[in-house]
Amino acid sequence: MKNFLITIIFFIFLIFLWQVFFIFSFINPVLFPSPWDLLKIFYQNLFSGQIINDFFISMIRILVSLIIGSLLGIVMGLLSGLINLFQETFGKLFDFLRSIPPVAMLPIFIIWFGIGELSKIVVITWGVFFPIWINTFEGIKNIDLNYCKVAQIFKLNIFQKIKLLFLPGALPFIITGIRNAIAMAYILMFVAEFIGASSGLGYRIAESHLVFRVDKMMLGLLILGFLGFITDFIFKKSISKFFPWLSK
Amino acid sequence: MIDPLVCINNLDINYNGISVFQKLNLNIYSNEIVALMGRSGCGKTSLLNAVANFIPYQGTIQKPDNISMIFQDDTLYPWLNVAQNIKLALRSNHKNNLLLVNEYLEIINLKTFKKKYPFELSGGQKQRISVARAFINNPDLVLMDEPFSALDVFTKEEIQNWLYNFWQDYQTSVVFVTHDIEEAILLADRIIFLSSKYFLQEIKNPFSNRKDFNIKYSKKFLDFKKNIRNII
Repeated sequence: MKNFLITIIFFIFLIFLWQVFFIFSFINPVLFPSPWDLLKIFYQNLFSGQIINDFFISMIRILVSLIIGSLLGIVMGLLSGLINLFQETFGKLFDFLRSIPPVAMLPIFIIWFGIGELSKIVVITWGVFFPIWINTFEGIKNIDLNYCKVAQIFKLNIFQKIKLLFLPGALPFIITGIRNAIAMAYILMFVAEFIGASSGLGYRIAESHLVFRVDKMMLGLLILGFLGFITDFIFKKSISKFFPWLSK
Repeated sequence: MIDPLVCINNLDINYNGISVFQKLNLNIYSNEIVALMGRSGCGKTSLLNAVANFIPYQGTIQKPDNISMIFQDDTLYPWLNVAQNIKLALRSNHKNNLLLVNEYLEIINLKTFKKKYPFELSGGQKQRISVARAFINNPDLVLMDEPFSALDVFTKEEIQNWLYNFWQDYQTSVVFVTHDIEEAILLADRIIFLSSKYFLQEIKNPFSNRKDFNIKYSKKFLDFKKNIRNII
């Protein structure tokens, strides 16, 4: 609670400093609007429904991609960790593909899947998949050998091993992978919406850029930053609630 | 002649071309506790690992199917609570499993801890759970690799007592590795001394009432302890 208060006070201090800089004209208001101006814009857009609409569209793109990418990443990571042949074939293919910057895949995905939702979800899923796949694989490789001996001596079958040993044993790594994937998802959501979309937070920033509305651009950036921060915060809190042993 | 429960014939174990054992022969009989002793690196743990099928070996080991093990380190799964960790040893998903787990938790005085995770327990409590987990499946053979080496003397005596009671109740065979001479005398019917590459010698434990820890202070016990020390 004390740490939380320190963080809040620090952020309030930063906003206050920003407003003071604006009042004393240390910064150009056209290039760097005041917090008060941003708040006014926020309210206008909130009541017109535009922000809420953009927020939901972007969040749905991120959530759908995170769910698909995480499931695929965990399943493929399990296969890589458990089956040597799979790792030496598909694992090496994934290693090659993950060397390509996911952003560079967007133009070809737009050609393949069109300018609609599918290309955006595919590119975000693509970026989400690799950190989760590699972390699941590494997590399984790093499971304490003694835990594997316990599973062997008590003759757990492969499904029991996956449920009771490999998935929970690799969980600390999987969580790190998902946190990296969340950050990657936001980057790719922004780029996908910036390049080819007609809605969403990234599109709104691109549109504001075209008409030189720095205030709207900054509002979009602040909302993106806030969303990323909140998503990570909720994720961390959920982990300590559902997996108490991980926080020890 | 009684048939052995575990029959080890011409056992060879190699690590990267370095031989640990050559042509080791050893029998373990039903309902006996056997201590394996010897200097560090003589292959005691390798022998247990071979019996448990954890490492490759040459030769033959005839053994029962139902084997349990208690490890030196804490091997409770940190992501499972106490009840789930004990249940791990029960292979089938029988509806009576929960009752059995509760029964065992009661025996080891940890019923109120059944929902706790291993990180919330002391070293002694964790090892009590390991003992319960090893015996709940009613195994024919329990292997133990220096199970009590990290415990203080009082906790060690308490858990040795649990173990002895479990052994008496379930009439199983136990093979354990130890460096602790007192522990070997207090628990084992037979003490086998290993030296590098070959089986050295074995002695029978002359003490019959080993549940009384006070025998540790008798002259007979101290003389026997000295005798074992000389063999090692």
